[in-house]
Amino acid sequence: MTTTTTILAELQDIFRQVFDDDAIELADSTTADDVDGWDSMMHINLIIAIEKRFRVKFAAAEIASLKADGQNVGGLARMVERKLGDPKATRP
Amino acid sequence: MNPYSLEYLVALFVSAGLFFRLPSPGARRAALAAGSFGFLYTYLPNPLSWAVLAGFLGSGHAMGRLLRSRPSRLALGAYLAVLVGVFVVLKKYEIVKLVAPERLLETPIAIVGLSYMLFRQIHFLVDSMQGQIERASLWDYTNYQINLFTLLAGPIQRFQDFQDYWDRPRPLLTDRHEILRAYRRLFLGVLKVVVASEFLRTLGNRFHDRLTESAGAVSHPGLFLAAYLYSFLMYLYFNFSGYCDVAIAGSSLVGPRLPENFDRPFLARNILDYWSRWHITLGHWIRDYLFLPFYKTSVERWPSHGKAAAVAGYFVAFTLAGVWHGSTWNFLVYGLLHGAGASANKLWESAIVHRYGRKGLKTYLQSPTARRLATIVTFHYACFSLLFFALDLNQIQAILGVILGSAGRSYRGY
Repeated sequence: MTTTTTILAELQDIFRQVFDDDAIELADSTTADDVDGWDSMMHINLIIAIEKRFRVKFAAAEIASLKADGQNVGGLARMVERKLGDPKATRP
Repeated sequence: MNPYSLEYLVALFVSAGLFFRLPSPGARRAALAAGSFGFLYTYLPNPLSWAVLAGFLGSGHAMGRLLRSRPSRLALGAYLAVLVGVFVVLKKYEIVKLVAPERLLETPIAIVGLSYMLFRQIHFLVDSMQGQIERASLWDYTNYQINLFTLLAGPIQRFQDFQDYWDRPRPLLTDRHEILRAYRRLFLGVLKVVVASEFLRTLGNRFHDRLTESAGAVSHPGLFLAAYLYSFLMYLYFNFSGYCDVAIAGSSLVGPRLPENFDRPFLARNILDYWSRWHITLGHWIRDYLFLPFYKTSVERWPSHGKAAAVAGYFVAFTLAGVWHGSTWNFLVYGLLHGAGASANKLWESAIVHRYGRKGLKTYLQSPTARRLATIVTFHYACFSLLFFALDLNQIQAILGVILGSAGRSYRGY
């Protein structure tokens, strides 16, 4: 079963590939301010990579909310976990 | 009735005192609905406008229900094409003259706030299709769309946030201090619109008139144009941010919490930053419902062309947003300028990353000198672009003729 911890590890791998930076270390509390170059465009690149890796889909409103003030990588991992357990999560 | 009029403010103050004394959520919803319909009634000129508005909103609600049960991009795309077509005719866009008889534009239909309703409707449909809105009765949706606090010019509230309040209408302001702050913001908002923006509008008009009426006789016309544009930018800021203060503070007394629309826009360091500080809810809407689907679809199809997709996305998003602001061709140029500004910044940052790596970009973004310079450039770029917001292409041509004529005379030693 995929847990938040294993999702976080996979997310770290995705982040390193997308940002081309092997030094990235993710924690639940990591925010967009902690990762160099995590702007709106890179955020979408991340979402595309996450959708491909986990075979899930994010709605426009969810993508925006994941980079809003107060959000962190822990929230992203929990959203992925929720989607993996929800058959409706692959909506267009 | 405008929201700065004495009758509106008196009605608001009386409502604020009585609203939460109403015993049940149903009574509060009925009172807010009566206020919204009454406010709308003062703006719609004839029964035909009511009928078209009912069709506009009713079709949107029905489409939302369909998309919730059967998500379909094709159905959404087809409906949006028709909806935008109707919008373009109702708003009397000049482009209609190129493709249809001009008499199509001679319609008595006038629907206040239709531009904002279009944005809210598109958001409602996309979010319904993507499973972000699970229920919405026609009554709830209508009240969301015609809510008197956002009817005229936003802020563009998301349906989910409205529904959260509408399900359980409750006081937002919990202590006396917050209530006093809301009244102070309301008062300052009225002053911003009625005093400051009116003064700046009059001042700007004087600069504009000196520039055009003297037909080339004025010395240094470029300075007059700059003075006109700076006044116009400040007029827009005080007028629109004042309106938002009145809307947000007024709504906090009886209605839902509205999103903020301004955050010190003249401190923006690039055009994207500008749109996250000026008319924030529009900037976010452009990002979520224009740029995001365009860029995401493009990169998924052509993964190695991310930079080109971003530039194309900025142009598409800002051009559409520019055209949304008004029906004449100058707004197209306004949108293109902002698309160009956003693209130039992205390419500049990419060049820094290419040369100095991401650490280099971080150093650049943290440099106070670079920030100051970028802020100054962005402010003047936004100001210059307003030439195509304030005036139509014929007026701009006349003014540039005056400036170039003056420059030619100086050059020839007149």
